[in-house]
Amino acid sequence: MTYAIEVSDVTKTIDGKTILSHVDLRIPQGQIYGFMGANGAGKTSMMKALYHILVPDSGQIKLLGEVIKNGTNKVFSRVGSVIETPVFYDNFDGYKNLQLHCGYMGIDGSGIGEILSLFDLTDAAEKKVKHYSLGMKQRLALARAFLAKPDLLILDEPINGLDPQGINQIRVLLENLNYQYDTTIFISSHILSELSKIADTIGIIDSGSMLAEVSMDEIRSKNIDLEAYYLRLIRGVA
Amino acid sequence: MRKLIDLELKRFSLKGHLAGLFTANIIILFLCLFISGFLNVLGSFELADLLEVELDTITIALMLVRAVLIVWQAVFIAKIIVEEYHSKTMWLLCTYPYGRSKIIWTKLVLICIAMISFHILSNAFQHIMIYFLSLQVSFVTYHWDNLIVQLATTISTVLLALVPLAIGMARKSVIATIVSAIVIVAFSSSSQGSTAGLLSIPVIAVILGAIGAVISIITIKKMITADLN
Repeated sequence: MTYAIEVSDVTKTIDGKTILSHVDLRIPQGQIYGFMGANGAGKTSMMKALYHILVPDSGQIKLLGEVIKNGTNKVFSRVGSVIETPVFYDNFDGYKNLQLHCGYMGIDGSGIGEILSLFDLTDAAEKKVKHYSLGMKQRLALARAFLAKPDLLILDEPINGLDPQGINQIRVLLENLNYQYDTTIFISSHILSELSKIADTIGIIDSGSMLAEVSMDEIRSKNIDLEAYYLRLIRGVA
Repeated sequence: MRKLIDLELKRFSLKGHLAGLFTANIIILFLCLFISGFLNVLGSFELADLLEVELDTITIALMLVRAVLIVWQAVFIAKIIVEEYHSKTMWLLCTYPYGRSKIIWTKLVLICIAMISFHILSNAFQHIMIYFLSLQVSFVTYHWDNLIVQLATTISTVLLALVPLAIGMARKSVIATIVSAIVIVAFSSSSQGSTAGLLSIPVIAVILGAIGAVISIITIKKMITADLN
């Protein structure tokens, strides 16, 4: 089986506190993997470690078959991401932010107009990002992540700040991307109902350690919803 | 690296800085003309013996250029490097297919090339203007130093002016970066050893430049391997 993400025995300690403890994670190519956990459980840290924004103390990370190291990682040109709060060059407009992204990713900017339209940002394209609302920033961050049609998407709480219509739109987009282009999606969210609608597999992290990896089919076969499963697991019942 | 420099320049335009540099040089020229005139007037009084200041106009101008450009370089460091960490856009850069070391070195090379160019342009401007003024105005005095010495002093000044990177990165603060540059100006312009400032003594300039280079390399090594918070 080919894996889009392979995390083997990754540990990270900051100021004496272990934030990731011997994490093992394998996400097959083409899957939508929902990543769950309480605040501070280690979801964002894990996602940062994938990019070496947080450099692991030990263990190995592979993205799309390439080992991630401190130097140049060519594979990042095939990965799109939204990690934690979306960051932009706030004094530039949305269009220029996407142009810069294209420059760094080594792609032409011909798809910018289309992606702005897809995320309902055409009218705001020439507006400085510092004047965007949280929801608009979130949509622009997703537009940026989708722009290069990546093979792997890493999305940390991507539906934060979106209205119900926006959440529905993102869900449909993710499902289409996964179906049409076989894009692997690694997504974290607190909105369990949304995760349960799109994820093939759920991973649960607690205090920096992986608690469980389970397919949505398995959860459904137990006749319980994701929220109930999660709460049982956290309380040590499942 | 060329591609990364082009991308940096799309985010950080040098055009406004070039206009600012021209304005700064005009102000420096007027200021050193005023100082030379003032010292000339003082020389006609008996009190002048107490001052013992022997600075020609071009030396004053080059000292002021160095002082201004050291602070200017700190502004570049703050805008191009420290601010990226402060606003967390450095995270974004780390998600692109370039190593962190390549990204940071590109920024540093860009700063050094820009600043060496600024020094050369400013020095050339002051030399030309003061040379021609010295032919017309009696109190304007000019002399020409060895070109290699001037070039070594310029490169050393640019390297010394990288020290604020270490302080700015330690505190992730734009203000700390600029304040540390002002402290460096005060130190390097001190009249210990020479009335034209420490950086006017070639050997000391090279030593200070080497210290600046070592501190920057240590800082960059830390920046490449540390977590981004």
